[in-house]
Amino acid sequence: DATMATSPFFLAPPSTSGKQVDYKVHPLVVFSILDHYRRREPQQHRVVGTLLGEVLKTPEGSVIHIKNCYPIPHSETNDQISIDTDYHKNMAALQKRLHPKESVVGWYSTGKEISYTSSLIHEVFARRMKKNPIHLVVDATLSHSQLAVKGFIGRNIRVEGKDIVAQFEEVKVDFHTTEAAKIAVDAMINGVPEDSKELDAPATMLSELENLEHSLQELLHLLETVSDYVDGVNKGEIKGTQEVGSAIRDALASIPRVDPEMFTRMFNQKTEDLLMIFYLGNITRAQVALGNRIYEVLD
Amino acid sequence: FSLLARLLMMPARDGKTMPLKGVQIDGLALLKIIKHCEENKGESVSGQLLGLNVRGKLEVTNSFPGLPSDEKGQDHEAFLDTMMKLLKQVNVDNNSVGWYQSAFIGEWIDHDVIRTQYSFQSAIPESVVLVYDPYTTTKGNLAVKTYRLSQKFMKFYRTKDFSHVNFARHKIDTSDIFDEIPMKVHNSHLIHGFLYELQEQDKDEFSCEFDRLDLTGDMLFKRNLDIMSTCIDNLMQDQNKFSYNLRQVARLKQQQQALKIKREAKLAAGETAEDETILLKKPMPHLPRLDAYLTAHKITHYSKKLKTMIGQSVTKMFEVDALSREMCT
Repeated sequence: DATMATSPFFLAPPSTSGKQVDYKVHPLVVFSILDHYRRREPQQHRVVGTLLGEVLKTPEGSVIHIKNCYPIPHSETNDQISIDTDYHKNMAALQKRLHPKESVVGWYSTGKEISYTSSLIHEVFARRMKKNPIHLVVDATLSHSQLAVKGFIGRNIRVEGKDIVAQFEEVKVDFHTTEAAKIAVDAMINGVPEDSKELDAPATMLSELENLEHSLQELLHLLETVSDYVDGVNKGEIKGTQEVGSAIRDALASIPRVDPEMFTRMFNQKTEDLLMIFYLGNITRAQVALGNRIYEVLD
Repeated sequence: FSLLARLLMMPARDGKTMPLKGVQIDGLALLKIIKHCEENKGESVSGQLLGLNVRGKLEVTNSFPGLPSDEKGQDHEAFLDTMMKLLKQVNVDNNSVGWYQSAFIGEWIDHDVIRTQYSFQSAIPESVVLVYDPYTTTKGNLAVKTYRLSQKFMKFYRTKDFSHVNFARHKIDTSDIFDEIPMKVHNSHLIHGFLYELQEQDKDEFSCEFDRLDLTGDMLFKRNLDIMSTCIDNLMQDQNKFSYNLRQVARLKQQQQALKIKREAKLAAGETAEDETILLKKPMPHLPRLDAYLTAHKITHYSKKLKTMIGQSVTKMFEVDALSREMCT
């Protein structure tokens, strides 16, 4: 293809149309990248790997979910870089058997910025994939006190119909998660660490009751904040705004109005049902335990 | 399950169950397990756990799924080998420490699980099975637990004799089959940094606070009770079979007694006794009771689970009551 041959870099296939493409990253991917970074060889400054994901079509364009990734062994000097493409092919084949719906959507590396070597790897991926690969950069060195996750795609700049130069363009990546992964991440954030001095001490996950207590306290805290705000506005200390006022009014209005007698009846019924289930469970357990004792006596 | 074949080829250590202080799982392994189980929610899937045993604490640092069951070709061995080799090249611990299983509508205890865990525990005494329940993990609760077979049960299972006589001899109670091991989650510093970022950036996306206050947990109760009643039905059927079997055994014993007496009488009278040694030496046809025990174990397990769920619901009900009283005044 003539255009491809003349461009200095080939970072992106010719763009099909101006359709909107959104990128969503699942937290598992970042976990995996950070874990790979931790396990890297001592002389490496950064790590490289492949991103796997699913492309979903929406009316406005498409959404690319980056759901999984795997590391690739690579070696790098100042100007040269080489990745083990055989490893990439073998692992991609294995992952395809495990997750048939996923395909290669790009590659990742850690670090702060794009370098010349990155473009070389990007080219390799762009040539193999028919679509535009995404390059995810995770800043594991925590510069600017932030663990930044940035996405880049390649863009060819055309002048008078000819590709002159190619560059990386940053794209917005959002975090997206399934409900179960959300619960797991939340459990990890709220876990109680064994040893409060060590940040990475293993943490016990809170039991359901402790979690419930946490949620209730959070609710109480919110109610107190709103109540203090309303008091402050009444006393004239704080200037109330229209939006906050109507938001509070909407929140209070969304509570269904129930006749107190009706409510007491519903409450009693529900609690009785729950206690009955509890009683049934206990009785069954006692019966089974009794049966066990009889077995011991049988012979 | 292909791993079984591989394990049976490993030299069995003396199978003594080593004391395990706890299991520590990396956030990465947990998320991978959740992803695999959630993607295949309609069936029970399993995979390998990788990690190290550090001074009595089992550290699980990574995991990978097993091949889907509809994969044609029996090259599970090749798959395992390739996967382990590839993982070793990127410095992942390729040391197997157990396996994981997803629970299908809350049910996970059955004969296959016991057999697999027994093989794992014989070859690798510290191994555990991690059970993740994709159906109960809703509304802010994460249902994942680690188990292993108790020492008593391991010894008993080795004898391969599942009659009730043997159960009594080994003093196996129905709650004795699996021991739960306390589990902790471990994340490196970098990942904690990332978790902080997530909290700040997308607080609403990742917070389950309000999910937990949801009052509509009735489907879970219904499902649990359904499973329990099926178990009870199974147990009843088994009881009938067992009592029938007991009667047969008693009858056989009687016959043997009668025969013995007749024989002794004949010998005393000097006549030659017929050779009824075959009938005399017939072994007691005891019924294998493992399934019954499993069912009973399941019932106990589910009633305990119901207890925790009810505790939560009742708490929430009283909270709603208190709030409503505040509203009405």
